Amino acid sequence: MRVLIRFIQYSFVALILFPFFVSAQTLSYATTTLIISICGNEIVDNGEDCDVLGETGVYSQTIAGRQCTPSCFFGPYCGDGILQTSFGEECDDGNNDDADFCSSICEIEPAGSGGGGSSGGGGSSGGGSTQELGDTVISIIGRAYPSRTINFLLDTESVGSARSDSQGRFDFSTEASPGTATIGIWSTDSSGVRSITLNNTFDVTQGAVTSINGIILPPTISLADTTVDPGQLVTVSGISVPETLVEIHVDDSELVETTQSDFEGRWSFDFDTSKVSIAEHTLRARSVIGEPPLTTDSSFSNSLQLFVGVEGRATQPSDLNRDGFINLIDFSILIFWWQTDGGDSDPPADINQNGRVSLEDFSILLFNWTG
Amino acid sequence: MNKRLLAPGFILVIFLAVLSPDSAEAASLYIDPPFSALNKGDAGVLAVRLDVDEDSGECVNAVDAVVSYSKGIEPTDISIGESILSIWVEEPLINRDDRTITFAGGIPNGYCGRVVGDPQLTNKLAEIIVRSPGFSIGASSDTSTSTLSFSNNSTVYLNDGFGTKASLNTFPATISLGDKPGSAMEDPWQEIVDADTTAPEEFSISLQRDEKAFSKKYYIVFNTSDKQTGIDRYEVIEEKIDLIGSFQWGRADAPWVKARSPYVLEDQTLNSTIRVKAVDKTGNEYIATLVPDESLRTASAESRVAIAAIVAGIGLVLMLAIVAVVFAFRRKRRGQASGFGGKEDESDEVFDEEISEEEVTDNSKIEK
Repeated sequence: MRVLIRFIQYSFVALILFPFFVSAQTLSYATTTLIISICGNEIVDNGEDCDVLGETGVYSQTIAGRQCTPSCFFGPYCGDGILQTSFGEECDDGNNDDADFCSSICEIEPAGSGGGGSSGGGGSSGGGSTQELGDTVISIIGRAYPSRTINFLLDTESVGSARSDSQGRFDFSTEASPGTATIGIWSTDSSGVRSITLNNTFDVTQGAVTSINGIILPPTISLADTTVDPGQLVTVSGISVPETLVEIHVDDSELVETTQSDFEGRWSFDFDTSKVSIAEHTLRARSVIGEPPLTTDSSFSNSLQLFVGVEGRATQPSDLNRDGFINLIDFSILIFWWQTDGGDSDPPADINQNGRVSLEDFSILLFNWTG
Repeated sequence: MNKRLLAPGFILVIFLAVLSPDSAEAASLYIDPPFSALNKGDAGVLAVRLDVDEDSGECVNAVDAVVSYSKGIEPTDISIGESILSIWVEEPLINRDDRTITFAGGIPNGYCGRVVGDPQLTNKLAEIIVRSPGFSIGASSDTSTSTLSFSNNSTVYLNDGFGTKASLNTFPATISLGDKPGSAMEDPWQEIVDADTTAPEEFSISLQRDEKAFSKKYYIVFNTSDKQTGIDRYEVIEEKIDLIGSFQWGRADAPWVKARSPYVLEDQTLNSTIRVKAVDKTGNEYIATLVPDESLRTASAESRVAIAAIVAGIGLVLMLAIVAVVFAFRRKRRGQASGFGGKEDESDEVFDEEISEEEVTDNSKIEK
């Protein structure tokens, strides 16, 4: 009987695991992988030198006494090879040895002193200070468009901005409350076209630095013309992370065109509309970073409507009070017109013009949210 | 809650999700744990969770959920403290008549799935606190299991800018109901409530007026969250600015009004300090204050009456002053006149208020 039960258990486990093996084999595309490392969980994650709760990285006169900073890197110490005069170092030769012209406590040893002497004690700053819990911080590292302002939202509210470098790299940190948090990241390109707001929802650990690495801001996308004749070329352009492959997906990725962004992140593609039917189509783009097979895809950009040989009207904007932002105030106006036809609201609260202000309009407003 | 059932139950959800033919490229609404047990009188917490199809890069941004619950359990509360939804169109509501729980909300810019390395699943929409009624009056005792399931009206929208409905799978939860009283009358929700000493997140009030909406009236907009037990309610008080010294809003009997954003102000003249109090399930509160800019304020009806009364009073005083001056002037004139011919005292009595033409003529004759 016991054997039978064991057999059933193993069969059940095998049955559960089988689909995972199958799905792992059939996955042939790369996806964006964001990695969270938590500074403060006492586990040395990727990108951390150390992770010791309570240590504050105060200066140490020995390598052994070096302490972990609140950002999970070793704090300054005598022997780190960096001259830190603010901590009284006269020298720092990267070790704690005497008789090598820089003493074990980072004091200059006179030439010819030979053994140098132990210089007696030194009275270091003492052991680790006991800090119960550090600040609760979210740290974000990623890539976007070169030399642009990157804006950050925390739980729908703007919390600041950072400037990307010429390679599009940026980093940003902000204090946060522990618990569920959503970080939104957006920017604009040099033409003023706004990117999608890239959202990441995760749990913030109390008294720790929760780092999100590997963020890639999706490209911006613009169309030279939204209504074209069949067969006409239409220019699709935007800005992405510099020098990356940009994929342009038509409709539900039924057709994928590719182009390359230049060193300033600019990309452009002349889309041949003879490749698609006479109808309304959607276009969206994403960046692909790295060389196959180790590629990382960004999320998709905004979707644009392209009307090929048909009359159409693009989705109305969601800025219901015309203040340049889409936030709680626009939501309030949407709620005022809720379950009506939108009355004389201008721009229309019935954003998708289906005759009723409802969750569809709410969804479009949330998509365009700027905070 | 029987935790031994939790792990295999969760595996079963994954199992079903993987094997289901419809699960490809679809969002999933499920209740966690899918299998649990409650003894009579015990309470348990069930999480309503959302999964998206991460492989296809699917993101969703709005959820309209209708959860039906069968007999044998009673929901006692709903927590949104750990919800990924931050904007609520319809806050969670327990409809005891039709035995449903409804809520609708959204996450600006969308939810795109779990981030690798996140120590939590971080996909909760709400937590339903259910209790087995035990031996209370009216409690049913003829059921051994109870279920919570999503109705077909439940909808999830893609974060695509077009309001597209996502393909959706839903998974119910089953609760085994014991026929014995709980040994310790478990109530994990009460423990969470008791442990919450943190106030809701700080927030600010935004004063608005729109040409088309709210009849052009001033209204306020506010929103915050509480990451422990969740926001229970908002309350608003409008306090006349000239009453601030009386510390009205801090009194126990202060006339706070239960409200939700957007809130049309009572005092459209903006001569009131506006305070909004966010209260979490434990009772911790954060109060945001807004003093309308002076340039926006207009005179209220009461103040217009007060100003009219003041103007009338000043006018009356001025009139009296003029009369007094005239009277004094005439007395002086009379005094001068009596100095030439007659006794002053008598003349005061004789001359009442007015001087007749003849008398003036007489005096002038005397002068001559």
